Amino acid sequence: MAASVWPGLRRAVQGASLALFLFCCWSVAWPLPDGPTPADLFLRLDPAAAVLTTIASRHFIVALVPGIVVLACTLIAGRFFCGWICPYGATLDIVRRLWGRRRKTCQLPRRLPALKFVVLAAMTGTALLGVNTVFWGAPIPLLTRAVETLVHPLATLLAQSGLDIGSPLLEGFPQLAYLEVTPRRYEGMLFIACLFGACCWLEAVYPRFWCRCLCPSGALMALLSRRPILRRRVSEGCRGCERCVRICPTQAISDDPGRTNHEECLTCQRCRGVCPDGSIAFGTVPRAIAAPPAPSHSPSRRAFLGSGAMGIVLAGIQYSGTGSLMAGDGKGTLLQPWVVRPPGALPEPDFLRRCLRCGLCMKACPTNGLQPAWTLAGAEALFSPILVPRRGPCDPACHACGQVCPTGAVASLVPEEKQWAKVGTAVVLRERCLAWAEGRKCVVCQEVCPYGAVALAHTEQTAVPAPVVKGVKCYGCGYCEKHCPVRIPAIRVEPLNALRLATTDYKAAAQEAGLSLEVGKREGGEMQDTVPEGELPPGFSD
Amino acid sequence: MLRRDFLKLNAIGILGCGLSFPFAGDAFAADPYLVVAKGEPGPATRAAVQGLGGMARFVQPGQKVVIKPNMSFDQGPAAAVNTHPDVVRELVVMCKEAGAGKIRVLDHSLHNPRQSLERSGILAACDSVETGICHHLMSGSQYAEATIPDGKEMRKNAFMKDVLEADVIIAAPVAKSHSSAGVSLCLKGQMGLIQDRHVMHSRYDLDVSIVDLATRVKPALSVVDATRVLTSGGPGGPGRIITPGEVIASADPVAADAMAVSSYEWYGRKQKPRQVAHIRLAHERGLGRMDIDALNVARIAV
Repeated sequence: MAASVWPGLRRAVQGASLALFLFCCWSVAWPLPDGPTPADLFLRLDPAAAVLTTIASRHFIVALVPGIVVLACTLIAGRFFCGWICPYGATLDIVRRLWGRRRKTCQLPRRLPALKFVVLAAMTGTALLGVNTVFWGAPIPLLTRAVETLVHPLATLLAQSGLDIGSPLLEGFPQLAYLEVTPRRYEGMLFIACLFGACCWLEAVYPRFWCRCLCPSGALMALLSRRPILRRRVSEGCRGCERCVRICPTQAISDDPGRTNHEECLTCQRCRGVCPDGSIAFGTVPRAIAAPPAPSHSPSRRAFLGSGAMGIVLAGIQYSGTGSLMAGDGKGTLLQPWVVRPPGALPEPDFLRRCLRCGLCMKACPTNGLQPAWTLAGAEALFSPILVPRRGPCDPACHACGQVCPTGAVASLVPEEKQWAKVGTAVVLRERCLAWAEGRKCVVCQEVCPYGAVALAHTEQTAVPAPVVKGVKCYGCGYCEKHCPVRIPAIRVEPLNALRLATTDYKAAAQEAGLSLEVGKREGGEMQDTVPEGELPPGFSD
Repeated sequence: MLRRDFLKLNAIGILGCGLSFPFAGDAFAADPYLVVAKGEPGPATRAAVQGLGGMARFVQPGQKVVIKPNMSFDQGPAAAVNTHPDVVRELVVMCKEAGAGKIRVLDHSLHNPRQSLERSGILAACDSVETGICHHLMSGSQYAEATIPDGKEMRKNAFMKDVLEADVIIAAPVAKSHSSAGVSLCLKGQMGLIQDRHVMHSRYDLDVSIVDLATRVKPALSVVDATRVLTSGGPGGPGRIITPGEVIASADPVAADAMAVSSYEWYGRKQKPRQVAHIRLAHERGLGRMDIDALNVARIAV
């Protein structure tokens, strides 16, 4: 095969990979088909996510094995993942093209590429102590999150505007005239936009800055690709024109074109394409002719250990916070009232150790109720999903979040178990409630509750029947909070008595806890079907 | 042709029923004010509307019709929280027979719109007649602000554009109890045609604003599906369900509501229409009549 074919081939593979990635992201939409979905295909391939999540959670996560396989393959083929497959790398390559050729790319300061190893060492330090920080930098979760919570909302907004503008044209087509796109909304999209924007801006100056200086997956693969079996080699025909030195986006070729820093080489084949003599190839290198690799960027052992120790300190800081993971749910750990986790979420410490913050659950949630937590659940829970019922309640018939979660941080539950995976309990804020505080007819909360958990209290304090929540019947779905007519809702779901299990036996646990969570079924007794003689049915007057 | 033959047969059937009625003479001197038809949901609906003089009395050829059933709960017909699909289908068919130009079956869902449409059976029922007419309108672009000139408290809201453009509105609620309004029937059901229902609870008096809404949205025909009645635990259920197998129709939504209230027991107790505040207020404000004892009522069995 001619040498000039290779760069094109790589670009085609990279483009196909990005397209497949976007398809996977897009395919996460409710209702999901039964059985496994391709949604997390790429997430499973991320080496740093796989290794560090496994270390942090002390749990062998089968779904993440492909990431470890990718890592092992770097021993054979170097950082082929970065150059050929990684959709984040592909995105950055496209961004660089969009900047155009007017801009002159700059030489990266020599020591900067070592930064990624520092990042990796610090993350490994935290992971060793059971704190997962990989979500800050693992490329695939990062890009997935950006697509799901930034690009997708903007796309839906655009689609809605388009429909609004085009609606007069659609009048004659009843099927189309009622097409509705409900724009997705997420809090803190600006932060992701800034992070992503910064990477894109850097691309104009320093090609693949992210991949070379920050990416922990890149660092992990670099560690294993000091001398891969299949690697860049330069045959004797080289005349030393140094075109390859100039075109290499990662400065992996030293001043001597024959020497390569394989840790930095993304096997992108650009050098192969520009070589006028066709003397560059990628393949096995016989020991006899192997040139010594170009100097490595990896930091000193001291710097490595130092950044690892820094990670351990970071983990310590997290453990000594009031929301400490170490103590779990009880033992003096504070629980924030708004941290309602998705149904089937593991106990909080395990949940945070496993959650990749990829945002798939948020994309899959049909009501848009799952939102990134930002700092609401503490710094260690950044980007993790919380249920915000006012935005969208938890649909009793749906368990898409568990179905798409790649690591099982939100367990995948069959409907019979999901029904019992209580996420919290609704609390009536009587000082704001129209019935309790103002004696006005309302009880929309009782009207919309799918579980029949809102009962009406007839007391002397109130002129009308007023809502009270039966805790054992309340799932915490938040239909009440969603539909409460008070602008700042007078009924709110809090994570009280949420069931958080390490197993999937929610039904047994719920029944043992005395819960009675059945949609559309109401046992006799507590809510009457008849009123006594002389009393009026609710809503009637004399 | 088949349809027309069927119509004729039906008309004869009703005639037969009517003649067997003691006050048949009165009933046919003018169309009855209220018709209560007993039977299977579809045939009873047809009979009730025929008893009022047929759909042609309400829908002229080429007119735009909006039918407003209850279909905003994610439950099947047995739960009695949504209108029976056969009732809706029969109304759509009759509107088509009357030559309606555009028929829409619309509501504003509380639960997941698609699931509600599917589980209620109403989407399939409508699609079997004409596809694309049955919708939950959730997005703001489907609504337009409009004033309510005769409103006492609520003087504006955003209404479905289809409703503002409609020539004929048909209210087709299921009969069910309602924990704050007493019952949810034709008048209360119109809340499904506006965008912001929250204000009717939070800013205004619920009963007064239901009547305010009724001054703006006036159904030409009101059909209460009492084939099953959720007599307690409404509007979302579960609760006690009775099955009178009746369909109540009138050109007057207040009278139809009043008839439904007095026909069944609510929470096991007989109630009078005046005990439902929004029915009483609607009567007092001249929007219709709740004194059903003084009205010409035809009872039909099919």
